[in-house]
Amino acid sequence: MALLIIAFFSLCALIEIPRLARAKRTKELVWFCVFSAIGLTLFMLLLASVKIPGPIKVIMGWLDWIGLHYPA
Amino acid sequence: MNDELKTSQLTPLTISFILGSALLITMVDGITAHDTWMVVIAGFVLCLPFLLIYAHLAKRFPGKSLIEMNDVIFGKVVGKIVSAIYVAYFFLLLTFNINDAAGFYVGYVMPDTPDMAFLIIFTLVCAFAVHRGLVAIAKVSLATTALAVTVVALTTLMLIGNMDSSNLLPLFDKPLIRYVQATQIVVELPFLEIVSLLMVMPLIKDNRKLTRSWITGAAVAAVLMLAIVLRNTLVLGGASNILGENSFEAIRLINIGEFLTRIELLIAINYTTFFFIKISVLYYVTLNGISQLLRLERANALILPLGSIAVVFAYIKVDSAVIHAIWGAQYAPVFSFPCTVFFPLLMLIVAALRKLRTPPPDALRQQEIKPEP
Repeated sequence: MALLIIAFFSLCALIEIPRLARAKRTKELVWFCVFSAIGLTLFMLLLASVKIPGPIKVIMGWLDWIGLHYPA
Repeated sequence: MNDELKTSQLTPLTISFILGSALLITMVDGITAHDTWMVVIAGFVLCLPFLLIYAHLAKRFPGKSLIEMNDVIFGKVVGKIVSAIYVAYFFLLLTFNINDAAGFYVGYVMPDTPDMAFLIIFTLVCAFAVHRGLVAIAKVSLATTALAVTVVALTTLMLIGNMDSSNLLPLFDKPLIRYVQATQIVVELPFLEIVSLLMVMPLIKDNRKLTRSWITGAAVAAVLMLAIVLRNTLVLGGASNILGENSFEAIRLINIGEFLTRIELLIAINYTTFFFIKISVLYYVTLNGISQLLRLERANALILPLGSIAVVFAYIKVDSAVIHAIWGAQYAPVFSFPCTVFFPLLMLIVAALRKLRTPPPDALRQQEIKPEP
């Protein structure tokens, strides 16, 4: 599974990076690399069974702290 | 990604976008049970003022997206902060909807298939749609709307024999807070998520019929949602607030001459098309929002990386179905309130007080110039 994910990100990079470099779209190239790195890191963490806090639990925690939600 | 979106295409897009939240009706059934039909009507009526606010903002700042409006209204710094909150909201909505789509398939159609397979496939299909542009998505929404109307009409007709009007009684037997809670869920989650369509205003060159498109879209979606809720309540009765997916369970009861049975797959197809439109639109507006915040000319290169991050967030969204149900019933309406109600109201008030508006785009201005006698 990890190999598939790395292959997918590598393929995207191999296609996009030369295309963006040729078109001199430096800003998009940089942000493409940033977003791809974030996506790859998240996938690797997921595959390594690292517990990433879900957005719902985080938001529920904030709303519980403020006390802003409907009662059960 | 830069085509022109006609306001006539906006109506079916709005309908399909709102119906993308049709699954949450099951959640509302758990709160108001057989009174959910009244909540849907109340939700539609209460959403109208806010739709008018969104349309008014779009007409006050023609050709500007929500992020550009925030810059004009709140200034560069505060505007960027508000825009970042909106982009985060759209991204979270995107991940929630991808998770709901995959969850529906894993729960009802292919339970032995891993979640990740559906998450990746859905996201890839929607990524392709985003790459083709919003106008292509809007053209598909015409077909999805026609399918929705056909399926709802047919299944309702086929279930007439199973309906019992006493299932609608007794009325108002729940505490008032439950009706308020359910109404807020119905107002904010399906209807007011249309605020995301403010991001596509630059694609609409002539917005004179914008209000009519949105109101018509919301009205048709409300009628379809009401038909779905009434059908489910009349057929399932008291079981509707304990079953998992009411439409699915109701359609399972269709058995005409031992020949026309097991047509609940129609519901699965309907939901798939709704989810496709909603996820594609949210994907598009998130990408658009990020590209405007980062001042990128074109953001096509970010489609797949953003999709990969969305898949991971959709996968880790929630630990269990119980927490998901609690989130939907108690926390989701509060979570949606700032971006669907508070900020648009604030934008309108500040724009009105500061007398802010931008001139219409050139094409529209030329049409308004009367010819000399």
